[in-house]
Amino acid sequence: MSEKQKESIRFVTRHYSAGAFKAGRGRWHEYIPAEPWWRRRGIAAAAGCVVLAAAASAGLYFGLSPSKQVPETTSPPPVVQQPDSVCGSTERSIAISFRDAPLKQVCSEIENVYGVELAGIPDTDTTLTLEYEGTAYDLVSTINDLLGSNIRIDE
Amino acid sequence: MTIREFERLYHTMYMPLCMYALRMLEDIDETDDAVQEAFVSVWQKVQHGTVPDNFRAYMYGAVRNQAISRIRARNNSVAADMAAEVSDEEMDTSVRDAEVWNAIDRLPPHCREIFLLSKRDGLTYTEIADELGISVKTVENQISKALKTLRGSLQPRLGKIFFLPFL
Repeated sequence: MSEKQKESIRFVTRHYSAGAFKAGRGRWHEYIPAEPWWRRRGIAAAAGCVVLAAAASAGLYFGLSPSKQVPETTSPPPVVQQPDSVCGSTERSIAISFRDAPLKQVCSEIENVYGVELAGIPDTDTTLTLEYEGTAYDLVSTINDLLGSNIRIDE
Repeated sequence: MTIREFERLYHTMYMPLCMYALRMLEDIDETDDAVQEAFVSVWQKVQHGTVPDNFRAYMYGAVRNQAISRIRARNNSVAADMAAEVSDEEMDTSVRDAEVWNAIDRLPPHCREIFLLSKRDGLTYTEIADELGISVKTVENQISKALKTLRGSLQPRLGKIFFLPFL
């Protein structure tokens, strides 16, 4: 073993402390800029769209073919994860999810959760299954894009 | 430079930089603080579009500056013979030190304990044997095993020093 190697072993052994010098996450992570708001909303909207598309097409299939034997299922109550204080804000980002919920029920819950009033809700039997986290504007806009509807938020 | 690239460099260089700073500061907490602050300052420069040509040398320089600041804060003087730049030999030493540290980390706990009691804490083999309730022969064997492991950790890595993908 070379003198340099021996010296390294001596030096490190003298200072060694178990558990010290774990790189971990790094303090520099605190200085990583946050994602731009449009990217977060875009990703959330895209994710929501995928779920909405899959569910809405199933809902439309059953809705447009009333002769089909559709098993009777009771739609479970929508699950809403919301902050403790729900304020009427179209810009507030809230997590909301539905399973096999009729569009009217979905709109009603959006009104309750976000504290907004919706207008232009179509009269349809379409059901939706979705998990979404975003603002009321984004959610309504996504539903409109998917269903070709013209639901709007009355302010 | 992307976040992922910087992250990779951070994890690759963190330990050798700590060893380099430890030789100057001789204090683990101050060393970790100095290295973390160095990465913060370099990351902020990278964010503003300043990506150094020789990232490795740049990081060592940043750590050196952090260490000097801390030494100055301690005793208001810095050794006159402190070189202006970090030499290749110092960088190689830090890589070697990091390998030794990681090798000690990987030792079986019992073996590591005996090794440190001897080489760090200065206990004799008899004192170690008495303290741990084992035979002197066991102490000898464990220390021999530890040294063999540490030597082994250094041998194959020497070649790797030349191939580290530093910018």
